[in-house]
Amino acid sequence: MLDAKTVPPSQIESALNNLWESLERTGKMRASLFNLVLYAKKDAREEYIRTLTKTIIEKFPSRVIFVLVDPDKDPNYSETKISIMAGSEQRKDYACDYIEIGVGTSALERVPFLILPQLISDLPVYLVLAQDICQPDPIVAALEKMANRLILDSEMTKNLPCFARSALEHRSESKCDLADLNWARMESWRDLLSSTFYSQDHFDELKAAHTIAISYNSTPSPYFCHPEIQALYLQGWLAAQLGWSFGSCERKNGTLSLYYSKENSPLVITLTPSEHPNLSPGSITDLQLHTDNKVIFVFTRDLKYPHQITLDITTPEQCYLPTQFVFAKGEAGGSLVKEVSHKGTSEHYLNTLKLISQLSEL
Amino acid sequence: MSQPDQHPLSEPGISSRITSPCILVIFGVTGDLTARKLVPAIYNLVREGQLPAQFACVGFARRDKTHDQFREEMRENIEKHSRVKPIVEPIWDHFKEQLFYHKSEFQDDDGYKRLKKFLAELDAKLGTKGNRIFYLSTQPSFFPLVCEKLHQHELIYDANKVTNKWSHVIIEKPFGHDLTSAQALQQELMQFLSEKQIYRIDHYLGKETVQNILIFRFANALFENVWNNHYIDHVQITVSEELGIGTRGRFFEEAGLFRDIIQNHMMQLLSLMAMEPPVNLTADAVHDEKVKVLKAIRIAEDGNYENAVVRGQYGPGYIGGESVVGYRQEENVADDSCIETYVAMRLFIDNWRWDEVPFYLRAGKRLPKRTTEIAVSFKVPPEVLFQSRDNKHDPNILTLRIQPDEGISLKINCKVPGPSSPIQPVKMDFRYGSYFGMSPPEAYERLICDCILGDRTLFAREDEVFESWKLLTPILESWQSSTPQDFPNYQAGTWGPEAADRLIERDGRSWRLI
Repeated sequence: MLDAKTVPPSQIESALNNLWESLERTGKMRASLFNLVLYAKKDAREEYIRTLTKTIIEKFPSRVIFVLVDPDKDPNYSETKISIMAGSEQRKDYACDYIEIGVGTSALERVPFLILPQLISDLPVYLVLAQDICQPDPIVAALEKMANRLILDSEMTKNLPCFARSALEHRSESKCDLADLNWARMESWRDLLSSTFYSQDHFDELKAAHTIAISYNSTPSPYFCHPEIQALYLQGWLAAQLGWSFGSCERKNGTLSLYYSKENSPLVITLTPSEHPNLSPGSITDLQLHTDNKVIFVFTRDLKYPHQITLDITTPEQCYLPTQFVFAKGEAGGSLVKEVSHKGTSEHYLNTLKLISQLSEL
Repeated sequence: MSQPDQHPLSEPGISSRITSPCILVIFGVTGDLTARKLVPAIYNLVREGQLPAQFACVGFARRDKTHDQFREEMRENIEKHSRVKPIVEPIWDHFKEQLFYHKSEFQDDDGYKRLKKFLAELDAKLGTKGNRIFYLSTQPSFFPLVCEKLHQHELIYDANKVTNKWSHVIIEKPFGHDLTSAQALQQELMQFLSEKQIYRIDHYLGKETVQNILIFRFANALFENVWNNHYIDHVQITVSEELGIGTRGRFFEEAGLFRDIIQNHMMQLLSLMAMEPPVNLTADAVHDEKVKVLKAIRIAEDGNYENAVVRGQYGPGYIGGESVVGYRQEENVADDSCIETYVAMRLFIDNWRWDEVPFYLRAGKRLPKRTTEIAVSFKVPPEVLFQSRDNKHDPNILTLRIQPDEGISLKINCKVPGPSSPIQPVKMDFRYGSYFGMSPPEAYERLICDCILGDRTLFAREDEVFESWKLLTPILESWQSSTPQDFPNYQAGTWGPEAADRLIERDGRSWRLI
């Protein structure tokens, strides 16, 4: 990325045009598939959101409008900068407009007015809300009005059921489609379970499950403090899609147990933290499923090659040879890219949110 | 073309398509296609998690080698030819355990018995459930033999009787070398297979840009209304290569460019361009519309192809600044060969949409650049408004660039800034590479995946093949009965013989300078 240059808001477009003119002979193409608006607070996760932005534009060049609220600056602080972001190290033939809007807490109300003129017409607007949506924010509603797709960051919340309720409210009140970074991150696990239990015999065993134990990496990082979320989503997804009714939950020695009932038989799902500093926070490390017929499915992540998962199936009659799966998409950014290009809101995600919104304080 | 799915854990259009466990057996695995395309494609499918975990690939060929030697060779091929480099070591370590080699001759019964036993062992070890794909990357003359042996040794299942597992056979083009041989081949194969088990591969159909033709036409209301003879003047389809025939001299002397490109790739591009919207996106619905186009094509009246089809052969010339030899000087080519390396033709599609719109097709080797494109030239509007002699009133041209520089461009007329009103054509351009940063899958990746899924949309159906042969065989027969006196008739590095220029200039048009 070129060094960002501060310009008055009224000169953003002309300053960008001048920048592009100076790059005329470099053969770079000015590319934009959509408008990507990111709304974040200046905190520990700022760098992560910037990295995420880069990942998105490597796959989908877009005009980036990065709004950063800085509570440490003068409340009336407002600054606009422009730059150009290159596609990727490998693909330098295209680049994207980058506009950064920095504001203090009192200047927030100006943000929608600063953004509106900068949106490229006829292209979709994707809004990444890197905020805790459980906390009221006066300008989120105004930003949502401009957006076609709202990408939430459940990592920003400590209270997932509250987040789920807020997300469902957003869905009902705005026209935006919804996506969530953590939901995108566990896409590979959903695909894995979907393909494993696709055949009728395996699906029957899944329906006969009485215990599911999920372990996840609880090692936090500066960017991730709520590592339980992906595991909560995964169990919530299974429960929602299979029609399990939530009963109660309890936490003991760090393990969260969720009690469900299904067709009059009980099921318990446990989420157990374990520390793996070399894995990304929140990664699910293994999943064990025990059924009423004494069949056991064990999915284990290879800690040396974290994209490889081994499945062992044991029945009372035999132990099957292990099967290996490959998680192709990187768990940061890769799945989000697919979410970004998808139209509509995933019904599975909505079902999962509805279920999680019913969970009492976790 | 997505997999319909009611499974509660699978979300249509979002979840990855679920591929069944299976074993892919490649016959002729030591050939060029496997090295450059097939195994790199399979590796990338594994890398992207598109293949089932319970999967194996077995190479079948007559040379003597161990599994490990085969794996090392395939690794080198992947390192050289994969669209994504470098090789990812953990993925390779996983993938190589799914690669095996089986030595046998195509006619050796014992070889098939051993293959059957080996595949059963893999089923038990890997959970591949008896599902099979047999990829015939061999000379076409071996197709019936291999299918017969597979059938004889119950490696191909009777689809009517066996329902708990499946077997598919992928056949490379060309499917026959004329109508009679294509029908004969089909009859031979039908002794051992049902039509639904046959997957006739034309790798063009696996290209993203070719698949985009249907999206472009039918997901944009704007174009469908002008996609007809009221607005379109003519269409040009070009498949040009700067390469010569390389080491394929023996094959080319038998096939020629007409069979190599026109009968398959060119007819596919034409039918996708010209077809009516299908009623849905099932394989049969799409094929039905393509066949209708082929049935409506008219090339020449009364079998007189002289004014409608031109053939050519390249002589020495220059490509990329370097001198190159002529076709007759290439390896394994006869000194007096009359095989064509260039074809141009004009045809019409006699239906309501395309009545009297000429389609100009050209394909050739040793042309100035490698390009495949479809150019739709629209009619010029009434010239009553902008008549001054300074004005250029070019027709609008919509170009679909299939390869390279994949994209779409539209040439329109605009006013030149200034006090007078000269008109200047300008180009609106969309480039895949600039808008979609990820490297798209190779054609074979998509096609192998579709074959595992049992989706035949992107494979040629039997009647499509027959209709194109029915149309084109008379041209081959007329060529056989006359020896071209002017071969070679174009210099390598030029756009083809002068006769091809006259073909289109007679109609008051000219070939696009690409």
